[in-house]
Amino acid sequence: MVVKRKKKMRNGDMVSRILFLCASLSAVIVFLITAFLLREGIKVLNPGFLFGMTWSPHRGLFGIFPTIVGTLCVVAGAVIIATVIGIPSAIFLSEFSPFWVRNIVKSSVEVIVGIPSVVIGFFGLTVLVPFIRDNVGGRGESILAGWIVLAFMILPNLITIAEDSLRAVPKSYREASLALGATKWQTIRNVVLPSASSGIRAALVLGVGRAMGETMAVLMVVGNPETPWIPTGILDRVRMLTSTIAIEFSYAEWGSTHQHALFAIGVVLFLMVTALNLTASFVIRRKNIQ
Amino acid sequence: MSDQNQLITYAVVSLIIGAAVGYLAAGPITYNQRIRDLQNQLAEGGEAELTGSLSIAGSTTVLPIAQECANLFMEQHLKVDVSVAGGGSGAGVKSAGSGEVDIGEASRNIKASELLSYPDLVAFSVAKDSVAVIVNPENPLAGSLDLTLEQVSEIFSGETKNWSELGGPDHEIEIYTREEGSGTREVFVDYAMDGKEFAANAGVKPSNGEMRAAVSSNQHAVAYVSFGYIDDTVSAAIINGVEAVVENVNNGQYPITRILWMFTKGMPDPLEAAFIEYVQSPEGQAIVEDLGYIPIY
Repeated sequence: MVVKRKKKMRNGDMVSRILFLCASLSAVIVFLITAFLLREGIKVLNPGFLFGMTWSPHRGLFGIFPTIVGTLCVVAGAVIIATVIGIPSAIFLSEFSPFWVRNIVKSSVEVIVGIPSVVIGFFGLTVLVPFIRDNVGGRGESILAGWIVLAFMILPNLITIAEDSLRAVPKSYREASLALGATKWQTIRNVVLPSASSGIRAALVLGVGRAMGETMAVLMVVGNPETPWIPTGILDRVRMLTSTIAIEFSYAEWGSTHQHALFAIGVVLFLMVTALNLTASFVIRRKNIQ
Repeated sequence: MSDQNQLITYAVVSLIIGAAVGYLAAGPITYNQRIRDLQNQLAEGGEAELTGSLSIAGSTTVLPIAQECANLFMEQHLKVDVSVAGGGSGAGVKSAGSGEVDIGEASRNIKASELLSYPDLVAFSVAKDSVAVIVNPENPLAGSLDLTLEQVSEIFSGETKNWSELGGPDHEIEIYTREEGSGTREVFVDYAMDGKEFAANAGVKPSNGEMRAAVSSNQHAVAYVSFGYIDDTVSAAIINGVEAVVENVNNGQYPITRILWMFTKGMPDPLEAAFIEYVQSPEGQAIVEDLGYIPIY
C-alpha cells in the first residue's frame, strides 16, 4: 500500500512537470521570436532608420518615419471610429435592448469576427475604394479607406468585450442608484460606465493592437505608394509597417540590408504594440487600485 | 533523481540519438536507391509510373503556365500531386535554391548574387514573354495610345503628370508599379525606365493580377503587366508604333522581351524532370501560347 501511494505521488509530480513544460513553452517561444527579430534587425535599427524620410531599398535608403506616421494615422482614426460606434452599441445592447434584438445583433457581430481579413480587404478594394474615388475624390485608396476597413474589423471585439463588462456590473449597483432617484441615463453615466471602465479600456487596447498588426485588409486599400511621404490629408495614400513587410519580404534577398530592414520594421512594430499594452495595463491597474 | 526518472531520461536520449543516426544514414541510402531506380527504368526502356508530390512557387508571371500545366499533368499522372503557389521571382529563386520547393519560377534571369548563394541551381527556359503598358479601356486614349520608350519612362517617373500632356482628358495620371524585386518590374526598369526612378506616388501592387485589377477599375490609371495578363478588361499601349501582340515580339519589333524560367536545386529528379519536359513539350507550349505567352521554339 505504502509503495503504491508513493508511486501515485510521483505520477502527480510528473504531470505537474509536463504542465509546467506546456505553460513555459509559450514564454519560450515569445522569447525566441523576440531574440530572433532583434538579432536580424539590430544592424539597421538606428536613428537614421527610425527618422529617415525616404524608403527606397534599391537606392539603399531605409527610412521608415513616414511609414510610422502613416500607421499611427490609420490606426488612430480606425480606433476612434470604432469607439464612437462600438461603445454606444455596447451600452444599448446591455442596458436598453430587448432580448431578441440583442440576440440578433450579437450573433451578427460575432459572424463579422469570423470573416477572414483578406475577404474584408477584397470588399474594400472592389466596393469601398471605387466609392471613395467617385464620391469623395482622390484615388480611392486612402487613409479614409483604411479607417473604414480597420474600424469594421475591430468593431466586433470591441462591442463584445465592452458589452460583457457592462453586463458584469452587479444589478444591485443599478438598483441602488435608481432607488436614490437617479434616472436611467444618470445611472448609466455615473454608476455603470465607471464600474465597467477597466473592461472597456481593455477592449480598446485589444482593438488598437489588432489594428496595428492587421496586414492583409489594409494592404489592399491604403495604396502603398512607391516612396511613402508624411500624409497631409485623409485622401493621401500611406504605407503601413505591416504592409511594407508583407509586400517586400518574399523579394528581399536573403541576408541583404533590405531584409534586415524588414526585420527591424518587425521590431519597431513589436515594440510599439508592447509599449501600448504595458501603458494600458498600467493605467487599468492604477485605476482599479484607486 | 529517482531510478525511474533516470530510466526515462536514458530512453528518451537514446531514442533521439537513434533517430538522428537513422536520419543521417538514410540520406545516402535513399540517394543510392534513387540511382538504382533510375538505372532500372533506363534498362527496362519503359516509363515507370510517376508517383509523389511536386511543389512549385515563384513569379506570378509564370504562375498561370505552371498552374495550367500542373492540372493537365495531374490528369495524365493520377498518382502525382502538384501544388503551385506565387510569391514572386525572388522568392522562386530563393525557395528552389534552399530546397523549400521542388521547382522555382522566375520571370527574369538569375542574378550573380543569387548564384553565389545557390550555386547548384539548374535553370530551364519554359516560355518567352514581354511587358506591356496598360490603361483602362474607358480612357479616351485607349487603343490609340502610341508611346515612345522615352515617353513611357517620363510617365512612370512622374515627369508627365497629366493625361492632357498626351492628348487625353485633364486628369492626373495615376501610376501603379510592382514591388521591388519583382521580375516584371526589373525587366520594365531595364528596357523602359532609362535609369529613372519610379514616381514617389506610384501605388505598389504585389502581383500582375492586382496591377490589372487596379487599371481595369480606374479610368485614369496606368500600369505595366506581363503579356499573359492582357485581356479585354485593359487596353495595351502601342510602343514605338508597334502593337503589343505576340507576333511583334517574335519578329523582334516590340522592344521588350524576356525569358521565363523554372529552376531545380541540382539536376532534377525523375518527377521534376517529367514536369519540366511536359511544360517544354509541344502540348505544354500550346498551353503557353493559349495563355498569351510566347512558346520557346
